[in-house]
Amino acid sequence: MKIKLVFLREFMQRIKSKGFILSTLLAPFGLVVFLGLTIYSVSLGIEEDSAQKIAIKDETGVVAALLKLPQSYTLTLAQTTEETLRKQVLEGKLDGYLFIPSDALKGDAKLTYFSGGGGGINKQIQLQSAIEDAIREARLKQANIPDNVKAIFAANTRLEMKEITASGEKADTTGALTGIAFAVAFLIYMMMFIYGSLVMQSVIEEKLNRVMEVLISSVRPFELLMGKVLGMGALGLVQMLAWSAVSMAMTTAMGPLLLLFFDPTKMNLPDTASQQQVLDSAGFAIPELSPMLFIWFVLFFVGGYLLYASYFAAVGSAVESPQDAQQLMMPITFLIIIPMLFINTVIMNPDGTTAMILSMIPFFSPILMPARIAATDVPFWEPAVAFVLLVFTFIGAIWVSARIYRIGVLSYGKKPSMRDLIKWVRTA
Amino acid sequence: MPVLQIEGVTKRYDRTLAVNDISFSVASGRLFGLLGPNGAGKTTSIRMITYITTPDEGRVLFQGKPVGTWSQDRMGYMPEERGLYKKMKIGEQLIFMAELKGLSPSEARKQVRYWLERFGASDWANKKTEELSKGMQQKVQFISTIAHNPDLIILDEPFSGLDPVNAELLREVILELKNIGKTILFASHRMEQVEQMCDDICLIAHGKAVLTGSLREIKRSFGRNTVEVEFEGSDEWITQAGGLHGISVKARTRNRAELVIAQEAQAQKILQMAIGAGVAIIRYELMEPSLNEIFIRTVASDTPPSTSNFVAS
Repeated sequence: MKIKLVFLREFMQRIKSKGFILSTLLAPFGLVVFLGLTIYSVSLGIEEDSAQKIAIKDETGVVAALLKLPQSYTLTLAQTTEETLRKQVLEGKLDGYLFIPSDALKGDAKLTYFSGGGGGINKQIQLQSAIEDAIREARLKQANIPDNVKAIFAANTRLEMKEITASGEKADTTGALTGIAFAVAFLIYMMMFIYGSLVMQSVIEEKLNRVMEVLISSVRPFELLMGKVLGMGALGLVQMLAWSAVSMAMTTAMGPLLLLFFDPTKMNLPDTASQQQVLDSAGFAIPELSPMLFIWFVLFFVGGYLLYASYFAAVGSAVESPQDAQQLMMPITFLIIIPMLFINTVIMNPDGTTAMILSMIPFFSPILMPARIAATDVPFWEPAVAFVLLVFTFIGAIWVSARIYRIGVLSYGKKPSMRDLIKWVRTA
Repeated sequence: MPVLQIEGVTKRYDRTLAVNDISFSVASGRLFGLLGPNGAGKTTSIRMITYITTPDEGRVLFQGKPVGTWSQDRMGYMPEERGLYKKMKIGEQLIFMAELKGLSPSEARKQVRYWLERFGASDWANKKTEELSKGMQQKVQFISTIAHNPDLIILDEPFSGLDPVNAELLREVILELKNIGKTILFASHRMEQVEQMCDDICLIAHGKAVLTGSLREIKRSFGRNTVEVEFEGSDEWITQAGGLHGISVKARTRNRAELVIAQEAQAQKILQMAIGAGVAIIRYELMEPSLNEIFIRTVASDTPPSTSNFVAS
């Protein structure tokens, strides 16, 4: 079979190339570095705050003493006028000053914090909650509320999410699963685009090199098209599998890795706290991924890739440079981008009707269905039906593409328009 | 039996007739020239022979059967626009091409090794195309055309871009292939380059075959119409001879003249005039017309416009 020869050439030539080896090895490494930095920065946020010097102009005379802020804040009671404080802020002697008006303890109080700007959202949240607490306490005190009622106000309520499983229960991982769903969608989107463009470039190269004429005097254009598309697809699959293996290894190693960044004693946990406890309280839950997700992920990637790559190849055959291809790529670019516009809706509400319908449409399902499967439990028939639809659409697409390709490979000179392509499909 | 038969083949692109009812056949073991100016329909014809495209009307037979994927493996085609994979190693590339023509991997390796050696190019096997000079790439291209031992070798403008040394090498190899019984089809617009080599020709212009047959017979049918005289002495007689009815001066220098005559008998007249003028004759020859002339005369008589770009080349 000549398809096999074309397939092997495409696959072997690329898999040996520096570009492929580097991107396969470096992408997971880059991801580790990125994740590491993210986690590190989160742990920094927990551990340390930059020193803040804040003056308080307290007209009530009681609130300032009740303010409880982290140690990094240096508070001083301002004796001077607001004019002087403003000047000090501008000169950088103070990071800001808090103005507590005399009516702060009546009705809906409004206090003002003046600063030189910046400081980040963390500081604002800390100030906001410290002030709320202080004002509440001052008012409770003023109203002579008994201690047991004060305790009611001071009590915290927390909603803990648990997921029931056959073997008991575990911490809910919806947050992490949502993240994974986005990652899955973006990965497939990216890979379809990258590998589709590679197919196109490869076809353009054969045309510009003029190898094409020799090739089509030896192989039928359809075999050439399919061999190339499949060869490149196999390459994409190898790369994805390599990445998956690495990320699975990483998920297993993630727990111990995360622990390096978190010190239980700083999180009000005993020194002996288990890995799970520490990670839970830091807001990290590591989800277990089902093998079904993996299988569907591979199937939809392959289906989606084939659907789009055949058209990429057809466009490549019609033009003589990637620039010329842009206009002809419009319809397909559109179809790939649409699911990305809906990705948020689908992942945030994966069980909704909109999500279900969108994830069944062949041009969108390669991206949306695996994302849904990652985000929630999808009944088996849904991806199964979506996949069958995808396969039929692919067969139609390859038929159209093959007709464009057959004429495209022989046309040089004039840059064809969309109308030309449609004419080729009709007449070929 | 002819290896290749083209029977009433027509091919249209949009509204232009690229090939218009062409018929010719190529006999086994012959060197056949498909000749004509650029745009005459040579490449279109070759594409139908190699089953890259199919005719709108008529049919193409190879070894008596309609061409198809089966015949692609039996032909070797070197297109006018040469093409190799730039970043692929020469050895791998040639083996790939040979396998595409149906050779087994081991047979492909063997043939490629043989031909690389034949062209003194064994060291190139591990080099990429982009590392080779133009001339070297031409050789590689030629090897890729013949490595699978095809019965019919199709060469579109084989000498274009070759330096004299490589052109001579190619000429030798082509004759060698002919000697071992291969059939070779040339397409060219440079007639003077191929006319010494061809056994049979088909001249095409504007998509139509204007002249087909054995080169020798065609030339004979046109008669010997050119007289070349080398002499010493005054060259005034040339002007006189050129003034006669049916005789025209094609080229002249101080002691050489080329005259075209309408009838062979006039050759004697020219010789008499030269002797009568008292010049010493060094050489006198009555010659057949060149293929170029034959073409121009044939085309001029049935299709008036635009052979100009052809004449210039």
